[in-house]
Amino acid sequence: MLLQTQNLTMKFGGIMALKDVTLAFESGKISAVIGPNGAGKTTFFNACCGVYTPTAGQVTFGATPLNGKLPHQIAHMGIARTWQNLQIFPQLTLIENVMVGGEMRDHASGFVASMLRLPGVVSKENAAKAKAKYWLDLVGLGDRAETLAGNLAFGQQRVLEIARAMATSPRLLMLDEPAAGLSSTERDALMTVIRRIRDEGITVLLVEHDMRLVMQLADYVAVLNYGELIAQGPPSEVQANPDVIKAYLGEDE
Amino acid sequence: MRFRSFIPVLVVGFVLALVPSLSESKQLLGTFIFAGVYAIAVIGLALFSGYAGQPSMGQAGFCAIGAYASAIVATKFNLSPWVGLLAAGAMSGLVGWLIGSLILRLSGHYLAIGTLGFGIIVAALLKQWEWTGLSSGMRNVPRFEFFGDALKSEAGYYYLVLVILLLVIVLALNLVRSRPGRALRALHESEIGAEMLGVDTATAKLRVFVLSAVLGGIAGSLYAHYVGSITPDTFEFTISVEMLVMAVIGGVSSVWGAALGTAFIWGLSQAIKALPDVLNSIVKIPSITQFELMIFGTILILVMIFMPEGLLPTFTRRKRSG
Repeated sequence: MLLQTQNLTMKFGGIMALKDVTLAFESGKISAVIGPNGAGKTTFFNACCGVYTPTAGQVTFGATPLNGKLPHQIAHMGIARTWQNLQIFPQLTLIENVMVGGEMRDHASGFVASMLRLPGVVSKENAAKAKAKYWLDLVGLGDRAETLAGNLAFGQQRVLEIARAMATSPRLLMLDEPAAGLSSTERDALMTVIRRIRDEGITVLLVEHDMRLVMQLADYVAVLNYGELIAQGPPSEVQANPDVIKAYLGEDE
Repeated sequence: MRFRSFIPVLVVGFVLALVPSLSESKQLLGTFIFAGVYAIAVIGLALFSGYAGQPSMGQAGFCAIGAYASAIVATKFNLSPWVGLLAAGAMSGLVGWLIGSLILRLSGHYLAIGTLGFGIIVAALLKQWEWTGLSSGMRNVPRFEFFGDALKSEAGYYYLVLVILLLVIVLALNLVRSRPGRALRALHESEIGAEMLGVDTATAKLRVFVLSAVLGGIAGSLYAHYVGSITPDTFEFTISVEMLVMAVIGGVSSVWGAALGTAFIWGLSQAIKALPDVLNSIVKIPSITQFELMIFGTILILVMIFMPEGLLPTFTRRKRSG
């Protein structure tokens, strides 16, 4: 198990956003967390990667507890993510956006070395650029490398976030609603990219509304409703679960 | 630094190097020297406020620390002014690190107020600490020594400031075009986005704050050794505001913009100071400083409305697209 949560609980004032969620995600697989609006899916993501400090419970990555770690420390440990409400850098070009991710693992070019443009700086920068270009090409944005990210269409910004996250060489990629706002062609391309990432041995965890995408992609699905885990298992099983159907369609009165 | 981006530095350096041979007017050279000293501090501010997006209204506080550190080293300890210059950078950097560790957890308006408070406290302390002998100011701060009296003439000092300014521009350009600079621009646009890509945003902000403090301190030192006397009022908070206006007007995310904004505002303030006689015969103006602030305020509002990115980015973008 690559990522595990144990009784993960998140309270905002009187609102219980997550309640005792215990989940485990297998490495090398594509897993999905689904649920109706407001079920706590994004909160679950945020609590896992250090954006929120959980009210109670544990998150473990590999064998390391993540509690109390800052997002950048978690990123260095090998978790990368994208955002439902995009967090791209609009005034940076696409290649620069991806380079910020790629340069995470290069500690040598610090402030002073960069100001003096010491010999190592240029070669490291070129290496980061090449890596960034690789990921831009892979998600199909390679020909727009010098465009400002703010000028991209919404769907392309989503894909840019994936390229940027992948440039950090993660072990776990967390995608927060990657298909939201994508056209059906873009959606198909996205599925190809996600499968390709999985085939490179990277574990993928996604939060998604698009059921068709989840059922086609995921090896394992967990369902949240009002912050509680109501079902988990292979997609076909979860789809047939009466609790899940009730949560999505509402109850007959 | 890539050669192509080095060309503007050479051209600007060459043109500015001609100034002393065109005019020997002490007043004119003095105006250029002050503008250069200002520009060094404003570039520091632009790195912190422009690139990293963190407002600071206390840059003059660091200039004060640098000026006093330098003056104390040169007059009380009788050490070389060059040692003073180093001490100025080190002292303001150290204070920047201490203050930054405390107040950089603030952001936005709160950080602006925090830095504003810092600037006011520095000025107040200098004024109130009578036992240090600093409250009445420092006099007879000597000039730098270099090949005898070379830097004691106006032209000599002009070249000193020019060389340091060009050096600062090159170092700043190198920084913003490389990894740490990219990280700063990234955290400006989305702090959590940058953080999740492995950028230690707290440390990055602290480093650039210290760098801007060091540049402020160096500017303060250059000022002290040029004018020869400083008082606590020299670095009052309106100077911090003026520096922020310079950075914003030139183009806050641009090293060259910061330099241009400084030249523009400084030139304008000199022009305004020359005006009162003419104006006074038409309308009664309360005081030059107030009048100056009125003009700066108006310009700032106009620039914010019509070219929010500042003068330089606006014009270079038009050129590129047209």
